[in-house]
Amino acid sequence: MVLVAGAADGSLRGTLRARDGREFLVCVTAANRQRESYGTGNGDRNESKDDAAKRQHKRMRAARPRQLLGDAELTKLLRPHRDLVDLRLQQHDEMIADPNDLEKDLLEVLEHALRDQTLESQGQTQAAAHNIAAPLRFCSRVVKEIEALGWRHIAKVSSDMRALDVLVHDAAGREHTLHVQLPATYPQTAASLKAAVPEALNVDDLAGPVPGTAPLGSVRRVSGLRGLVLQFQDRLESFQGVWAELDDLDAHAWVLDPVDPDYSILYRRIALAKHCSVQIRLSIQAPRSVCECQFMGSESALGPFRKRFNRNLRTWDRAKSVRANLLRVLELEAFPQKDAKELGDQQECGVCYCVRLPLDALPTRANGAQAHAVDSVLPDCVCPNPKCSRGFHPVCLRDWFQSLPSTRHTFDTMFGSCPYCAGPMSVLTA
Amino acid sequence: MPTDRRRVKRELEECAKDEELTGVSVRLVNDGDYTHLTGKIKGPSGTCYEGGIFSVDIEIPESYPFEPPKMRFITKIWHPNVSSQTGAICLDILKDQWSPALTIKTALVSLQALLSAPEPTDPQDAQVARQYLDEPETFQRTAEFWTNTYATEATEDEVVKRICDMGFPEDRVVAALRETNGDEEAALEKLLSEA
Repeated sequence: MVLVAGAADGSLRGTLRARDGREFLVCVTAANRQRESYGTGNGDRNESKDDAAKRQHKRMRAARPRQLLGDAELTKLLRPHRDLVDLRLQQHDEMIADPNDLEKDLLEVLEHALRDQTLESQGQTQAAAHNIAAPLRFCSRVVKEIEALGWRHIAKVSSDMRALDVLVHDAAGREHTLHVQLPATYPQTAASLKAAVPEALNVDDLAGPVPGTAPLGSVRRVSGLRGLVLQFQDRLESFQGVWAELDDLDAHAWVLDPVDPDYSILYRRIALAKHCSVQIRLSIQAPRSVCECQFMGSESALGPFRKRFNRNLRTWDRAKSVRANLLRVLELEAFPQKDAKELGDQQECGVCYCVRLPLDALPTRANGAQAHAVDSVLPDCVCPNPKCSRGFHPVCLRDWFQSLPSTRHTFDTMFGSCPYCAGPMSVLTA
Repeated sequence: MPTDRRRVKRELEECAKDEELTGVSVRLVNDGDYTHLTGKIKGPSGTCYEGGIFSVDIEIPESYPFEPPKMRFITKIWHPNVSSQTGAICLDILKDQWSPALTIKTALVSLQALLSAPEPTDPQDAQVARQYLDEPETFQRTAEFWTNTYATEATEDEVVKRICDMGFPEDRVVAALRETNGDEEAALEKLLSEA
């Protein structure tokens, strides 16, 4: 749109163009000027520059609220937002701001109005009623709640204050980031929470009156963000046991997967020997009980581990840590550390030379072979020839087999030969 | 493709470690472009290629390492398994015997081995192969001549002197060589066209 300082009375005229292309005629003028100009009629137009300057000055001093006039449709559209429009006009009058700014502000209000109209037509009248007046109330409420919590706990706030990152420390001093998403109708509607914890969070928002929810404990009496954080902290307590075990493993073993574990991941894949690892999964309820173990790697290297595991499993002692138990069951002194000599320097895949298959290479590989979601990102496909025992990513090996005419395909297994020793090898295709 | 670029990068690092020992080296043609490389092979001693440095143009296909790198001699060479015109190479591992277990370095080392042990029964250049079989002495002499002419990297002074000996003034020879980035033949052509 173009708002032009049209008439000598200082009014601005033009058209407002909404994003959907609709245009509205508008006239912005000082309320009392409007009346005056009606009264004096054409005389105004002929006044000298001097008079105009005086008038301008008078208007500035008076700082009377301006008025927005428009065609019937615009008037109807803006009726629910009259307060806001008046506020904007007043602000501009006080600052004698650039008409362009005024235009922007008016457009913003108009867009809101149009959106409300659409919402209304969809039967969402209730939500719409809040839309314009809400932000200010909403923001001040959020700021108050943050102050109650303490700004030092806030890592990030989005510009509309709808998304907050809150830093929370648990009993063992681990730092957690709680992502809080506040709905527009907060605190009437509960905030949604996200954090890297093993179980989904369903902490009820305690800030607003949520009918039908019975208070659970003392924490519940604290409302707002602080209440949320306290409850989250409470929740973290239940994971302390399992996290302590995982931290112990992370510190004393070479964890192949996950590389950069967050607190939601309860499995660890621990290197045992060259191309040989065990994946364990702990339970939250009983972190020290016998854990789920899955051995991975070449059969020849795994055999002894598996035998020892089966022989010693009965001696698993719940009083001891998972690491201590695993070491005893597998008859190891300690887990091999990263880059240890006994693991050899050939942990990486013999085709792509990476240990961890880059995720960006997963969807489509050279020969168009689709990677499967279940595929390991580690070189788990190991040549059964004990002298070779080269490891490959299943995806890489499959791609290579597919490019060979000599590969045999039986059901879901591909049979080919090892790229290194040319001995027989197979890989699952599904 | 990111994976393969990573692999090529690793290969270059590996290759740089024992350049002296193997007598083969690889460089990127353009910085940061891992699809186009140049390899250099030292002519094996005790053969008619001794003393020569042979440049090989290496193109890494998108599906590397599932497909072999495309290699071609840039330096002209007289060899039964290399085209004397285009530099095309006939070597099984660069064709159907390729395996991801091989690398650019091993391919270049294989080329080096091919120089010391030509395979005239599976030739790329029939004319050279016939000569290799029928007139071994002529072949020996031709290959040595080609090595000395094309595969020795003469120092700049020598090149300048050689062209000056043809009767061109020294300042013009130096200017022409500078313009052609030291390419002797191109410089000579330029001088001749100017004259």
